[in-house]
Parts: sequence; structure tokens; C-alpha cells
Amino acid sequence: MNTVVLTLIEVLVVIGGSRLVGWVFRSIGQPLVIGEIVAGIALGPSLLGWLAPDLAGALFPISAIPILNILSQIGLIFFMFLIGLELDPKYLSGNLKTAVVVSGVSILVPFSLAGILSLLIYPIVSSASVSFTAFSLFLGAAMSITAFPVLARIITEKNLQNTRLGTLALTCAAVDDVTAWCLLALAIAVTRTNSIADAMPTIIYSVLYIGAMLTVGRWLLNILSTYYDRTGKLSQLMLAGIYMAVVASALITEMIGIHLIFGAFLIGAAMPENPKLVREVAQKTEDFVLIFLLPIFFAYSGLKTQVGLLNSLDLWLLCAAILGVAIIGKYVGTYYAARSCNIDRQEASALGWLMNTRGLTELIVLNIGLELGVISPILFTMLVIMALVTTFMTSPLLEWTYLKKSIRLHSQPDPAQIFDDSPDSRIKSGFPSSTKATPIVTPIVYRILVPVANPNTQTGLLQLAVSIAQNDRQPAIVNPLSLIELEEDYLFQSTPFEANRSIDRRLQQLNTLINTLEPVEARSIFQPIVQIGYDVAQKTAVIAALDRADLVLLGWHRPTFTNNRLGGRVTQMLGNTPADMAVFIDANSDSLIAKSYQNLLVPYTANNHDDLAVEIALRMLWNDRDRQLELIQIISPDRKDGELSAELDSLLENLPAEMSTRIKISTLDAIDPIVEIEKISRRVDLTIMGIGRTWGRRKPILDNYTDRLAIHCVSPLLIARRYSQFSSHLSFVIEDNK
Amino acid sequence: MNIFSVKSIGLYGLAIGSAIVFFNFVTSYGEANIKAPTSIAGNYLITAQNLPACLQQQQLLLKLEQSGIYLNASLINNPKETISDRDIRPTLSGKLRDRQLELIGLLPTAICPRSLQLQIVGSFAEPAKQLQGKLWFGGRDIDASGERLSQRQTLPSPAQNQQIVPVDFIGVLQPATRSVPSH
Repeated sequence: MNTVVLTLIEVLVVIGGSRLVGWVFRSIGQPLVIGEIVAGIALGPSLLGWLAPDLAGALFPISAIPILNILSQIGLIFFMFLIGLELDPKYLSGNLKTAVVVSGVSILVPFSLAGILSLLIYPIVSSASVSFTAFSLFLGAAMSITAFPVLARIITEKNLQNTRLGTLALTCAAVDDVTAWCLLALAIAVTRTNSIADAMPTIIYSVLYIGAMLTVGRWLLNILSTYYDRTGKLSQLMLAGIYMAVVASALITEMIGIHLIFGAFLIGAAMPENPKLVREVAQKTEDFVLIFLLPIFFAYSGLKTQVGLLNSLDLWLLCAAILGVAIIGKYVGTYYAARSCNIDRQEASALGWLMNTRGLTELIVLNIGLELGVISPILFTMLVIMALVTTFMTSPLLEWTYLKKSIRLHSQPDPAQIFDDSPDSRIKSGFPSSTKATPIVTPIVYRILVPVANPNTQTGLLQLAVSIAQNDRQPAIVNPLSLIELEEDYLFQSTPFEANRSIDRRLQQLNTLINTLEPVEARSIFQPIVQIGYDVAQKTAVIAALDRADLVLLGWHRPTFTNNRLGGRVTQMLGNTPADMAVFIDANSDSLIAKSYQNLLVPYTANNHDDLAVEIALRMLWNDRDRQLELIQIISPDRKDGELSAELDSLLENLPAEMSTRIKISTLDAIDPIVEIEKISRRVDLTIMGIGRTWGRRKPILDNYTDRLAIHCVSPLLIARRYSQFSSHLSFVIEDNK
Repeated sequence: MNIFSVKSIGLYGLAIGSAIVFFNFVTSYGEANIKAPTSIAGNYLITAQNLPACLQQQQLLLKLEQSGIYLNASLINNPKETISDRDIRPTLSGKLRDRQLELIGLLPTAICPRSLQLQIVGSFAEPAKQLQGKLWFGGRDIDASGERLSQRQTLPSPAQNQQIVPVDFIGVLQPATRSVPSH
């Protein structure tokens, strides 16, 4: 087959495979990059070559490998440029003293342990053509690496970027990153010359070149930055100049005797501090590099990874020893260094696991080692397994050691600020608390959590939240929850600083929305929460539980006419959220217009969800003395039990007279009550109903009655789903009665 | 404590200095006392007599991969046709002890219609340009030798091969009659 055609077919398979496996890994809460690396390995001899050797041989013949190699090297050069761009000096601004100690020890310990391990494994997995010093340096570099880009994404994803742990981990990883690249450059120089003494000229040239890049190079790039500021846009000519500089710098470092990647990295790192320019360059570069070229690098690495070579117990034991030394060296070094800097145990432990993230950076080092022949194929496979395991374990171990509660406490508004009326306390979320806050949750505070997908269209929903929450007897808080889903976790926008920028922008949007709500005093009960989140349903459930929300109020206005009125995320949230919920459907009205909902209707069919509907209606009734409630007990031939529950009956009897006069209770005995309710709904502002007695008994869909009512109801509709066994919505009334 | 205070810099210097001293000690000891096995990875042109019928009139190449003492290899027939465009997965594995190597595995059915148990036992002298030893094909043992090809060396045509490699394979293996470029 024509080589070009074959290469294009390979690229198709590689991109498709990497996206697919990446998606699978994303869905289990792992970084996308792990999935892409695994996809590359799966396409190689370890899986495809093992299952279908003929297909693997036809798809990736030896003759096509050099082309993949060239593409992967180009991808690597530009990826390293992106890593350099990301390495903002601002990361070094927090806890620098602690970070220098922690990152120094976290490199020295695994590096030293790798030296000892080299004494044991050099005669087993290396050959005489590799000097012991080069082998030891490479193994040390491989063991002591922390992958800054992957770590930064994990921290952003866990919303830790503004916590002490997050900033410390980022600073340590940034220091580690720079140290590891220097170490790798030294290892390459020593490998190519076979001794430290012979490598001295290379080392001196490298130091001189780095110095030149950070002075003359940066000066030239500053001119570019000034020109960019003047013109306000990044022209193709400017971008061409930057790309040429990347390639030229890569060539220079290759000629010096280190490696192509360092030159590209240096150009990225030397870019001036011009956030707009850096963002634009990154955004213009990253799509093609990350989607097209990087998976080819993973596939190329995967073709050289042969898990089948580990075909005996002693080899697997050796692999376990390497893994153990890598994990223990990094963890113990980090943990004790952090403890010596007065970091508490939990944070020190979390830092230890975070610093174990090796991911893609490790893969780059290993490929260079294999290419130079300093790492043998078996050792390469073992170290790839080590890189995968150490990166894979980071997220679950972080959750395990640094409890979800702690993550929450560090990333949410301090509960102690509940009654703090300062503007900052209302608008900020996810900002650092240097000490762990003890949650002071005052039981009398009524909390509504309102997931807000698009702040521009949720005025009606938030106004409804005010109508339910605000009264003169009980302090209330409404938490509009906005989750920012980062589509690709490797994009520039996923870096901690960029994620913070997105959070600030979303907070601004929410505050603009809140400032349109009436009455003016109601605006003070809002405390927005903005976080990075990939699984909105799951994240909402977690926050609702930790926030002890009394009610989760959700908007739903997709005009669907299916058997299931709800769907997608709404159904997921209804199924998973451990709090009472109400879904607001306002399909016929403009949700941008805030309403006061003066006339309420509750069609009551006697089940616990309907009880919740009545409780919400009564609360709204209490909150506004002009509101009226029409409670219709539905008694149909197949639904004989439309009686109010004993608790509700008792509650209604004990309501203040002023409230009772605004409640009209009637019964409706009809074969098809929907028609009647539709008529009544024409004259009310809001219909509140339970989700139906069958909810939760079988698959989570609305029963026929609820679904038909949802379709035919003319007024806006609130569908209530009970979770809590104990009612909190009328606690202030009950307390009053006692 | 300021990060750039004399005390801090002293501490960092001490830590880094200790690590460098330790690394120097380890590498000096390693270079002097720890020896890795000779590098024997490469492609070896095999010559042998009394091969099974399916292998006669064919060039045989032993593609040997080495990871220290661990060896993986594949025996390829008509390598000129196959090695350039097909990835050959190792079917033989074994270990290197001193200058003795042993490989065990199967001869793929792509080479012979019936999959044969194959064992290669050999030795080499420094530098490892030639292997000499025996092949066991399904119970038959055959004396054989392997000549290491350099990376850029092209395979000789079968006619040339007949001229280069000694025909007498019984007993001691014959040295190659032409110089082989170093690897």
C-alpha cells in the first residue's frame, strides 16, 4: 500500500482510538491523557499485536514507523513549547520556601533510591554498551519526575487550585519540572558522551544557550509582545515567526547535544508575561498538537511498549520493585519534607500522592532513553507501567487521603461566613482558606441549592428561589451553583490560572443576574458557588449533601414531548441527589421575566412527594401575605386515597388564621382529572405537584399521570421529589406552634 | 526563615552537595564493580546444515532483542522479503548467562507448515560479532553459526550467501570468510 495512504489510515485509527479510550478514562474520573497513553499501548504489540498480529503488522508495518516517528517528534516539539508556555512564573509565587524544600527533597530521595536500585538492576536489564553513570542518571530522572501539566489538570479538576495544598503542589511541580528537565538534559549529554567529564562542553553550551534565551531571546520576544499589544491581534506572520523560533531553538539544542525538546520548551518558557498573547498562541497551537500530533506520539510509544516481554515472575517482581521505589521515594520524600515545613499530615500525604503524578512527562523521558539505547525494551515497558500506575492512582488516593469533606471545606465559601453580609462573602467561591474551617451549620438556616446552567436565562428560576426561601422567620441562603465543564482537560483553558479566569467570569455573570432580582434586599441571601466540574449530576449531589441543602431547585425548559418529561441530567440528579428536589418547568413563558407567583395550585394525590409539594406551597404562602393557594384533593376511580396525610392535616389545622384564610381546599372526583386541572391551571401562576407515587420504584421516569399533567399544565410547573424523611421547609411554623 | 538567607542557602547547598557526593559514590562504585552483560542485540544471519525441509533453500535471520540478561528473538526466513515491511513479534525468549545464551520457543507456522519447538543454545566471543551453537528443531539438533549484520548492512543474496558461509556445519563452527562491519 502507498505509504502516504497507509500513514493516513494509521492516523485515523490512532486519533479515533485515543479519543475513544480517552473518553472511557474521563468517564471513570481519570485524566484524558492516561486514556490516550493506554490507547497508544493498546495499538501496539501489547494488545493489538497480541490479539491480531496480522492486522497489527499490516496496519503498523516497520516501513511506516519512521513516518510516525517524524510526526510524533514534531508533536513533541510543539507540545513541549506548550508546556513551556504554561510554566507561568506566577506558579512560583506561593509558598516558595516550602516548595523549594519539598520539591528538592521529593527529587533527591527518589533520585538517590534510583541510584541504589541501579546497582541491583544494571547488570540485569542493561548492557555493557551503556555506561553505569548514564543508566543511573536516566533511572534517577525517570523516578524523580513529576508531570506538571497532568498535575495542574488534576488540581483544577478537584477545584484545589486556590487552596494551600493546590498552590503548594503547583509550585513544587513547577520547580520539579524545571529540575527534571535539567536532569534529563544532563543524562542525555552523559549518555551521548559516556562520561560526565566528556559531557562538560555540552553542559556549558546548554547553560550558555539557556542564558541567551532568557536574556536576548526574551528581549526579542518582548518586542513581539509590544507589537502584539499595539496591533491587538496575532497575525499569521507573527505566529509563523514564533513557530520558526520554536523549530530553530529545537535544532540548536539538538546540535548542542541535549535534545530537540529542550529548545522548544525554552521558547515557551521565555515568552514574555503577556497573558493575552500567551493565551492566543496556546489556543492557536494546541488543538492540532493535542488532537492530531500528540496521540501519534502515544501510538509511537505504544508500538515500542511490549508488555508481553514481561513473561516471567522475576520480571514482574522487578517491575514491582521499580514501581515500589518510584512511589515510596516520591511519597516519603515529599511527605517528610512537607511535615518538616509544618504542613499537617493530611495535606502532606495528599501532596505526596500528587507529586507521584508522572504521566506524559515520564513518557517523554522514557522515549528519549529508549531512543538513545540507555533504557532497554524491558526496562522501558516497566517504566511505562510505572508512569501509568503512578498517574492513575493519584486521583483516587487524593480522594482517599484528603477526604472529600476537606476538599469541600477548602474550596467552598466558609460556612462561618453565612451571615457575613460583606459583598465578598456573597460573590466569592472556591477561594483559599489557609486553615481548615470547621463547618458551623446553623440548623435554622434554610438553604436552597440552585444549579444554574446558563446564567443569562435563569432569572425566573432564581426569582422562584427567592419566593420559596425568603421569609421573616428564618434566615435563608440561596446558593446558585454554576459548574464549568472543561471540555478537554489538556487545553490551555484547563490550567489553574485560566480556570480561575473562567470562574471569575462566571461569578460576574451570576452577580449581574442576581442584581436584577427583586426585591433588592433579597439579593443578599444569594451566595453563588462556581466550580470546575465534569459530571454535573454527581457534583451537584455531592455539594447538596455537603451543603445540607433543604431543597435543590432545578430549571427545566426543554420543549420535549416524549414519554418522559424529564431526561438527561435532570433525571440523573433526581435519581442521585440526597436532598428534596423541585424541578421548575416553564416552557411557555419567558424565563427572563421574574414573576411573583401570587396564585398557587397543588393537585394532591396523597403521596409523600405531594406532601412536599404542599409544604413548598405553604412556605411560599407564608412568605407573601398576598399569595393564595388552591389545594385540590384528587379522588379518581383508580385513586381513592386523595386524603391529606395525618401530619399535613394537623399542620393545616394549626396554621395561623391569617394563612388559613388564603388556602382553598377542594376535592376533585373525576375519571380523568387532568382535563379539570388543565382548566384550573389557566388561572394560577404556579402549579406545584409531586413527582408521582411510582417514582423510584422502577426506572426513573415520570408515571403517566404526572407526565400528562406536565404536558397539559398551562401555568409554570414545579415538580417536587421528596428525599428527606423529615420536613425542614416549614420548621419555623412547627416551632411556632410548639 | 528567608529563602535566600545564608542559613537557607547553606541548607540547600548541604542537601544538594550530599546528593552529589552520594551519586558520585554510587556511580564510581558502579562503574568499577558492576558489569552489565555484553551487548549482543542485533540481526544474525544463520547458517546451518541439515535444516528441516521447509527451511532449506531459505535465508534465516535471527533477530535478537536484548534487555540485559533477558533475550527475545524471532527467527525469520527470507528476511529480505519480510523484515522490511512486517513487524516480527518475538517468538523465542531466554536468558544470557556469561557468554552463553539460550532461547526457547516456537517456530511460527508462517515459516514451516507445522509449528516446531525450537531451542537455540549458543555462545559468543567478545566482541559479539558471531554466535555459535546448536539449534534444536523438534528433537533434531543442528550445529549452526550466526553472523551479526551491521544496521546498515544489506542482506546478501542467497547465491552470495552460499559463497560466504561455510558449508560444513558439523562440529566446530567456521568463522566468516569476509569481514563484517562493526555494529
